[in-house]
Amino acid sequence: MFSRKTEKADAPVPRDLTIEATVFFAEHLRFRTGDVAEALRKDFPAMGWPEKEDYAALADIPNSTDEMVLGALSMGGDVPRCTLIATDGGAPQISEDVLALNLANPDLIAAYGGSPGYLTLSISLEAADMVQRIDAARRLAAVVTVFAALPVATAVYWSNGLRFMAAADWVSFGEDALRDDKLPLLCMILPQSQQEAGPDGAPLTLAASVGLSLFCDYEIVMPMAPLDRPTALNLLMTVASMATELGHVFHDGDTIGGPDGPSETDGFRIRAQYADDDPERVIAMHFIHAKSPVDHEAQFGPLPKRPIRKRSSDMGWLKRRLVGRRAVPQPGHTPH
Amino acid sequence: MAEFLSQRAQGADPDLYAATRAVMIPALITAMADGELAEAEICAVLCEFQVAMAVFELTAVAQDRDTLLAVGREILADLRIHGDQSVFAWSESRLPRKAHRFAAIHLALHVAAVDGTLQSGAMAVLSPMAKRLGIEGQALDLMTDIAVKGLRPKGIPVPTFH
Repeated sequence: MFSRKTEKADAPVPRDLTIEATVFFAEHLRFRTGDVAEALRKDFPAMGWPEKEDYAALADIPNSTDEMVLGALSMGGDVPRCTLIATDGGAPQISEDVLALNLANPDLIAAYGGSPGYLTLSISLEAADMVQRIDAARRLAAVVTVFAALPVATAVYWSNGLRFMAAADWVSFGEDALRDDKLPLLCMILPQSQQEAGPDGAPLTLAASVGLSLFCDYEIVMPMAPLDRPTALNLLMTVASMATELGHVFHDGDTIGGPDGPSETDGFRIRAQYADDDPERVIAMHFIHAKSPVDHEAQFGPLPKRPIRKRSSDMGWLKRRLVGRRAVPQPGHTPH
Repeated sequence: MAEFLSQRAQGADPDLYAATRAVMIPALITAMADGELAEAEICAVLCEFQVAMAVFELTAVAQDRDTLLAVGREILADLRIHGDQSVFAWSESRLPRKAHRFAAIHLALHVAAVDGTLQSGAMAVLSPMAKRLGIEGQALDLMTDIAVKGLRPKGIPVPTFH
């Protein structure tokens, strides 16, 4: 069961991880990695791609998904190269459970099932902190978008979030977010929900994320609460955005206001769930609605006597990037 | 087999892509009348393609060699899979203006007469296509004469793709 830690969940500990996505094609695709690099520079110029491939000879070799593909793309920044792989063993199979979780419609399933070509794109990170993970995920998402925007693309599978969607949907959700310097969370996180009748017959909704742990090391759970499904899912994605793009650090025992009122009546109590094998590691943050029937103290232990509100030295990903772009004012400097 | 650059061009402007591809098709069918095409032969067709587009004041979906070559390769792959008749029928339905139809036949004639003489095999393939596009009689004779003599309007440079 859950351990009874009362420490706060802090910024994720740097660790090794691989971010991976697969794009499926209605027919086999021939490409040169140099052309893909050029497309990235053209479609997402603000992301700062390398000007030229540092392996120009390889970049000119044609790859075709009907044969073994093993390519690499320079990503720029501190992000390692993205590898592009297709084998003659056939496309990866997406399980029926994952298709069902993603509410994939029959047309999409048929298009994916009839796709002979595919390309798996991945970036392996070493000891990556949250900033590196987000940067790598955004760059990988840009590469995925370049391929998904091809008319021949049928579907995309983002492995870290079990997220499966039509290629056109990926482009629709992802392209603008990437150009606006955001993280395309709708492409990367699978929001789950479940409903049941409450004691008074009114519906209760549970919502949970799949895939947020890529960035934060924990998932978000919103236990059963008297919220309608769209509201619960909207809140879930808002909290996911706070945790990633805004770099917000949630604390065990804290409360936050809800859409309809203050934390005491319509807000949420935040409780941390720790790994069974590691009492220091938070694996889920539960946002428990004030009117939820869930007894959080029974599940997660007594509240910390005083929620820890130590100001985090981590200013958040977005602010860190902004600070990195601008000159930091020096002491004694007088602005004109 | 889909080509990355061709697919990007299609995604960027589907209508212009379709018109560009449709203009190329009769020429590539004509060029394939005597067998498979080498890459250099496709490039030669693409040089003539740019001239034909300029003559009829048409815009192609791309100007760069690599993208046009990718479009040409996709057409060849389709010809191998679906055959001349099916691919030409697609082309016929996507030549939106009279200028596109004339550009397509102008290009095919220049490909057929690339060495100054018309190949009989090429004309056997080309003539029915021209007729289906509404180009026959005096118009076709005049265009054939221009192609055989290698005449080009002044002021239109011949691009080289080699």
